[in-house]
Amino acid sequence: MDRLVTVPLDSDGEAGAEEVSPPVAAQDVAAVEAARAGDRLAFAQLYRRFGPVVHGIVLARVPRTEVDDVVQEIFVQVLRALPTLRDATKFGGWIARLARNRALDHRRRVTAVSALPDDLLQSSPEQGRALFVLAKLRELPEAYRETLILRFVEGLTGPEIAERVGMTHGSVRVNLHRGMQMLRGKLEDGR
Amino acid sequence: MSHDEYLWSGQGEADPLLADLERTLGSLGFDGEPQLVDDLPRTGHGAGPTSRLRTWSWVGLGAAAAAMGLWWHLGGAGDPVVHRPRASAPVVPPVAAGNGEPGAARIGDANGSAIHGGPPVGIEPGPTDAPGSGPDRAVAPASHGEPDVRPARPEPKPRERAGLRPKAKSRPRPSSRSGGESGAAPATPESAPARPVEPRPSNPPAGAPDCAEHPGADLCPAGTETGEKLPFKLGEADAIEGLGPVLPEAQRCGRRHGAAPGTTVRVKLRVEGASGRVVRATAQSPHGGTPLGDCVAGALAGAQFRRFEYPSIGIVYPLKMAP
Repeated sequence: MDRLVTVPLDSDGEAGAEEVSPPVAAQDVAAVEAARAGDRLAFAQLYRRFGPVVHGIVLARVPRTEVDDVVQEIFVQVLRALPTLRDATKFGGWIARLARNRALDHRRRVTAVSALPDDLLQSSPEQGRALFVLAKLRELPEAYRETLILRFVEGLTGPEIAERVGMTHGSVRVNLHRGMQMLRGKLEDGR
Repeated sequence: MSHDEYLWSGQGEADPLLADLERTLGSLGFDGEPQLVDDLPRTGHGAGPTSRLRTWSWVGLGAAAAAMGLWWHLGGAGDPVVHRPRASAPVVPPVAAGNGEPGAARIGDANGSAIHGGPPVGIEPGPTDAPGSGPDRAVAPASHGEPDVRPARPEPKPRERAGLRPKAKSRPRPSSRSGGESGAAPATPESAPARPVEPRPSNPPAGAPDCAEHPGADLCPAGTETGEKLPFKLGEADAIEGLGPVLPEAQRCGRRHGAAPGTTVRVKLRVEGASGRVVRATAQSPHGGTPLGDCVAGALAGAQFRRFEYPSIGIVYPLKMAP
């Protein structure tokens, strides 16, 4: 990560309090435990809950047309590595870290290609606008673009991002705020 | 401050830009039904009613492995060098080991051709293989539930190892899918050579030297003459901006030449960094050399991109004809 801001902020009226990453929800802990024991339905539940997080993290680093494949690979890796996770409450940070590493590996493997993806600039103006904004978003520093993608593309709120990625509320809030400032400037410059 | 609150929690007064971003970017999000979960190997509990299909696919894999072992044991293609058993082949779940019988062979036959016809996994096709069965299948992309029969592949993909459905590639490769384009048939044979289209004269940015006519690093110190900070290469957003204005004209080519909606014409553009102009536009197969391909290439050749430091880059743009 370029900059992962960890300044505690007064996010919930607890100024000065030592911030720790919010723990994964109890139902997720139970699902992690069950998935570790081989319960596929529990793993499906984890897939639904953390799929957007993994998708957003990968989308921040990998060409969009390759994101789905990388996400699938990550969940296969999660299934294999799940027994090595000691503390189920740390699942969010664990899977986020795994997704980041996997996305970086993928980016290293794939050589730079100057071809545009197939669906770029399709006839739909909405799609074109979405891809344009995403391209601008991807020019931001890594920490900001990841958080903003989770917020706007995956539709998670700040507290949800903090919980599922294992970041503090303050970090997420700062990344959202500063990232949004930079994105606003880029969009104004671009038009 | 309320905008910050909306950014944080999605509640409160929404900044118009934030609402627009949510609406615009939301279409690119995760659409995830856990399509892989039903195919994952079970590590704990016994088989449930929803896993029968997966079980049968393991049976098919087991039968394929058994057939491969038998084939190897009986001498196979006759070349001892290529008969080295692979480390990944014997990895078969217990459920398949007991069911690799005639019934399972039928399943394996339906799911993949590793039992009959094509060569077994990881083994070069021998001289006794039926003509056309081996090499043709070897280059074809793996289809649903089909064991990978490509001979030189060192290790299956993680998704295949885990027994997952291979997903369709999101980006078709033009070299292996000549028939992948939908819509109108080309007016000339596919083998017709693509004719590069001379770009139309376009106005270079104000103050920029015409580097298309005067190439050379000394004459075109990109950006230095104006003190402009140029990007090293074009990004996606730059490409979108550059191509956007010429797309309507390119779309008109489809109507003019009777191309069916959905027809995709791939055009390779060579963009010069010093001027941001297209110096070469070539329609690619199967539309290379066709009137449609030339028309689209001609339209896209008028695109004007922002300037960049790198001498020139190639962009392959697949234009999909609108309905």
